[in-house]
Amino acid sequence: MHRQMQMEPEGSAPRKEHKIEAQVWAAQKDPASADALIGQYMPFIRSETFKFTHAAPEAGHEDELNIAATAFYEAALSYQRGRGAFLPYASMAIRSRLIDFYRVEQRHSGLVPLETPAGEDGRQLLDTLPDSRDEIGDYDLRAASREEIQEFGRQLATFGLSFSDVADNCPRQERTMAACQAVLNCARANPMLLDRLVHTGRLPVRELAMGSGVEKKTIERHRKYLVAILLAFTNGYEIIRGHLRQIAPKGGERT
Amino acid sequence: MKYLVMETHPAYAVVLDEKGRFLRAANLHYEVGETADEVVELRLPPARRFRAWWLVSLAVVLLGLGALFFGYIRPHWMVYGTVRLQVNPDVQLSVSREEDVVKLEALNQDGAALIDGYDFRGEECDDVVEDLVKRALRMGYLEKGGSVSVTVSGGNSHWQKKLERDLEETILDEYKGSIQVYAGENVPDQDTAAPQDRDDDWDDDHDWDD
Repeated sequence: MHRQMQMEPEGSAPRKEHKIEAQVWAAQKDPASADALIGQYMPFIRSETFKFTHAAPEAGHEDELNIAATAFYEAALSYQRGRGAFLPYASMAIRSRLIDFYRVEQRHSGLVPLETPAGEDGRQLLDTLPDSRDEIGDYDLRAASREEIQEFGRQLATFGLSFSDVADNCPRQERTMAACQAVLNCARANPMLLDRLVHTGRLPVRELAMGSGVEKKTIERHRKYLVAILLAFTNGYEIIRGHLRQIAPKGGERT
Repeated sequence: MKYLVMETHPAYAVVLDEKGRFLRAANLHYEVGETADEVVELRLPPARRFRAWWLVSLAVVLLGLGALFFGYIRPHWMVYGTVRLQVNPDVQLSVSREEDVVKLEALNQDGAALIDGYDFRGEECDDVVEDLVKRALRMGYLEKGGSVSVTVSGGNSHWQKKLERDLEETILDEYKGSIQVYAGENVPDQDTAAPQDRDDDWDDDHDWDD
């Protein structure tokens, strides 16, 4: 009797690792590739989450699953050659993030969940609280916000930009953020500069530098971010401007 | 602080805070248009550190002069092409690959008057052209209904065409409808081009060669 032993072809493990690495390099450059990588490895991410929570995500651990997906993405962004295989690296990143998440959650552990039973009739604590929210109003506002943001995204796309691009170009340091705020104030004080941005599709760098006192190279370095924040102060984005209350206290109407 | 959700992906969302910062954060079942009170910000990878820093330092020293020359001096300070700007004053800008103006010279007497006292150092080509057109208007060399010609030479054809297009747009952004711009192959032959209207008399007895 022959025993048939099926062995994996030689070199299949290194080939598989090479394929994952290629996907990770692509994900580092392109959000669509990153989304595809996350989608493909969602079973892995679920499995890593389960190892930590010892329960299915659907059993009240959806947030942990989302945190794990974020950690997997962060691992893809930070992965370099020489760090060993990618999946064990991602596994460590997921575990580390979930531990951090639980530490933050522990700080809230003195609070009583709203789903706590509040009586024998099956009611929860949430049901006993007066409802001061306008559910329909909130729904309408959210729908209007979504529509406005989608239109904003379409207009950004005409500049060749996505929200992810803008986030990556957003200043990190307070000093640079203050400089960009000065550029925005200059544009709001000179509405023709906002008009030029919209009609020409180009940021009027020189005029903004002269009017705000910010160096041209700072404006160039944060061009993508500035295009987005200036666009928010052109016509049609009242909800977004209303949200920016810390930089446009009066609701941001154009002067 | 409240965060407005702008875009969602499987592993992250882009949110906008009240200070105008766009951030990547964990996507906790967000929908676009929703407002969140707290977010878990994405940890972006820090700048990569090289363990063999001494090797890098050596490489930088060895390659530094070459990188400085090819990476900065040549693209910014060495002449790659020229831009001829003809209003009726005729001037020529010598331009680096990165479109910085390296030299500015007059090709006729009016051109000399146009650029007299003008400091082009550290300026980019489109800014200098815009300034010179403004000067030409102020000094009466150019009036409403007049025309400006821009001809780029040198460099490769892609660089030429792009720069001509950009300079044409720069002038039209400011003066569309009031000034005609001719660029590249659309520049009329100077012998047949109509003279600019000027308030003062045209002086044919000049010492400059056209």
